[in-house]
Amino acid sequence: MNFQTLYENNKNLVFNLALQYVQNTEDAEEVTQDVFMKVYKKKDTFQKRSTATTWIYRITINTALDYVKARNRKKRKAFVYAVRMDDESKGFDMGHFDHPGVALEQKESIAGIFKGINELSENQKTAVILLKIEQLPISEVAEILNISEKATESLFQRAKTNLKKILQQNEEAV
Amino acid sequence: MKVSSNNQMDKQLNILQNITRVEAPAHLYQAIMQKVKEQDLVSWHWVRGLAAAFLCLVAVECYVLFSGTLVEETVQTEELMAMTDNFLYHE
Repeated sequence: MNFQTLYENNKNLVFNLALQYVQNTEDAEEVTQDVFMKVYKKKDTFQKRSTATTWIYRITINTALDYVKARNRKKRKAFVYAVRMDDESKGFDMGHFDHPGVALEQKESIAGIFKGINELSENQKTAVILLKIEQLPISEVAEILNISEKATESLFQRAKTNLKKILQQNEEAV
Repeated sequence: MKVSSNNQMDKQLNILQNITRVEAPAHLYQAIMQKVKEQDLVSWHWVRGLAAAFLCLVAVECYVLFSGTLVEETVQTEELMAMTDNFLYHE
């Protein structure tokens, strides 16, 4: 499999999907680089049990989730350090929202929804991103997540219920 | 009631469909290839390091083996010489 062709065919897919998880350009670039490093290393061992696109979707999702976890750990440590040093003014922000695909007039409302999505479990977050933002058909999402279509549907319903609660709580807190 | 609140959630989520797709930055490919090269270099460093360690181990092993034989041989020769001397005295 030619790496450059793989890159050209999938660079926008990877970059945009990474953006939905990290919500800013710098981090999405980091994730995209990590994803293609993995693709480069594993391209010869890729078994064609699924399509290359499904394979790349899976790598991107796992890499982005790991990246977000690592980023949150780092920020949490920095926050604890700041509290210890009596410097609470720095606050605790889990990554700034700077999504280049969001129009300025919708930035506030979409940032609010993303704040809620970020509080969902990893699987529920992925279901919302793939079905609602990437607008993939449920059959493809099921294949990517390696679960049945029924399980994907119920995962999405649970995500919606939880997201509703989170958004209500966030509204009350404001 | 539940249906209407679900519809409201759906409406809220539908805003996400307004997110437009963006082009991946052009410099990314170069950055990835640079990282690939750096990683290859790092793994070559490891290979060289391991090879050097292996050679050192072989050299130490050879030294221990051969220096041990030499000592033993010297002791054996000295013993034989002493034995021969004794035999001569008895004659």
